Amino acid sequence: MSLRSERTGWVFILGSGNGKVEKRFLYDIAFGVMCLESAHIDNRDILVFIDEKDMDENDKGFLQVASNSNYAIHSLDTIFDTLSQRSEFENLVFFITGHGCQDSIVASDPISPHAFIQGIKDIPGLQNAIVYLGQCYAGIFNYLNVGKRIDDPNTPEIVVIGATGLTLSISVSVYEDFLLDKIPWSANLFLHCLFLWFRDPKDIDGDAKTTIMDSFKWAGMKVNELEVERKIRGFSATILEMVKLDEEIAKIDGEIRATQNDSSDTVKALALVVQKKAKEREYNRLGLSHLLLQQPWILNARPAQMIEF
Amino acid sequence: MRTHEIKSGAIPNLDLSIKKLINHGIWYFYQIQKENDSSARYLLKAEDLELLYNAAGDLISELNPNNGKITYEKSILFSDLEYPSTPSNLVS
Repeated sequence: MSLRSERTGWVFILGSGNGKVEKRFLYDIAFGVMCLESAHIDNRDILVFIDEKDMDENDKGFLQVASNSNYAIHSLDTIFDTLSQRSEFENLVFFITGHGCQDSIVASDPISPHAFIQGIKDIPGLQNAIVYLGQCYAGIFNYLNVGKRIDDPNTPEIVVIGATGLTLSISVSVYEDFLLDKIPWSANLFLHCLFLWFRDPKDIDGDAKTTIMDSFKWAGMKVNELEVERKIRGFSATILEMVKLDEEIAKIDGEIRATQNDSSDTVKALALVVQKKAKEREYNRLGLSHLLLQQPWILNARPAQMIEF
Repeated sequence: MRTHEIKSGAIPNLDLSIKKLINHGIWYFYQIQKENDSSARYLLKAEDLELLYNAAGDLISELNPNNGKITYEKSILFSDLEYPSTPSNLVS
């Protein structure tokens, strides 16, 4: 069976810990939507669920960088009600970006693995679901009971694919062409490579089909390839830059201490705090991108070999 | 809102570390108009901080969202600083 020849819904999910989503994750979704549209997915079959009730004016139109279509942005807390109402979908493909923690997907109402899988199983009439997890600690969604029940043919097959196991996931700065502009952002690397596969699917195992299994293998390999290249190319420069940043942070710390007894110039004090924050952020970016490793995984692999894009 | 590239020297007093984070898409920098404050020319979104800067890149203050409407004009990047790579070009 093929997702494009059957009725399939394409679902993007973004949670937030404090009711305000991060811009970088909105760009993950925008890039994904653009790649699906370029693979001729009908925009009416793409649904976006976001965990922020009052997005600011600047963020509300985030999909305009990627599409000329008008998308309704749904509130994340309505997801299973909304999907249950879209009973025309035989298949659903979920893309989860945002943060993950050690027991859930981070959201106003945190989403545990059990609750999420049960929510999918409860959608009436659903035949197949594919869940791509980009967030940290995606491995907590592994080793769950997700297969179709032999004694109940009305239950769906659920394939779960995680960017990473019980570790942080890798986000790196990328720069991509959108409709009108090139935009840089810190992208979830596994989802990014996955979206590139959907834009231009490839048969990895040579069975003359482009299946969900191929998407898993291709995205996993490309993340590794990009990371190896980046780490080797940037190793010495990164170490030198981190040493330099460490010294600069210590220097700013000294300046901050010197201003602590002087309340006359609050703007200068704030400027120093921002400078220090910038250098610490860069230090962490360089360090994390060099130290992290991630290994993708797949649960319920058999249907993934048969479900074609 | 369109993205606009300028030379980093056009905003001379904005710290280079901040400019690098902007070009890497980690922090976001906008040219804006702010009601009640004609000196505010740029808005920096640095995770939990939102900061107003003048045309030269001097920090003015933290943004108080209740004090005047913000109109976003352009997203700013720096044409003479490094950009990240493009996975679309690297994978084939």
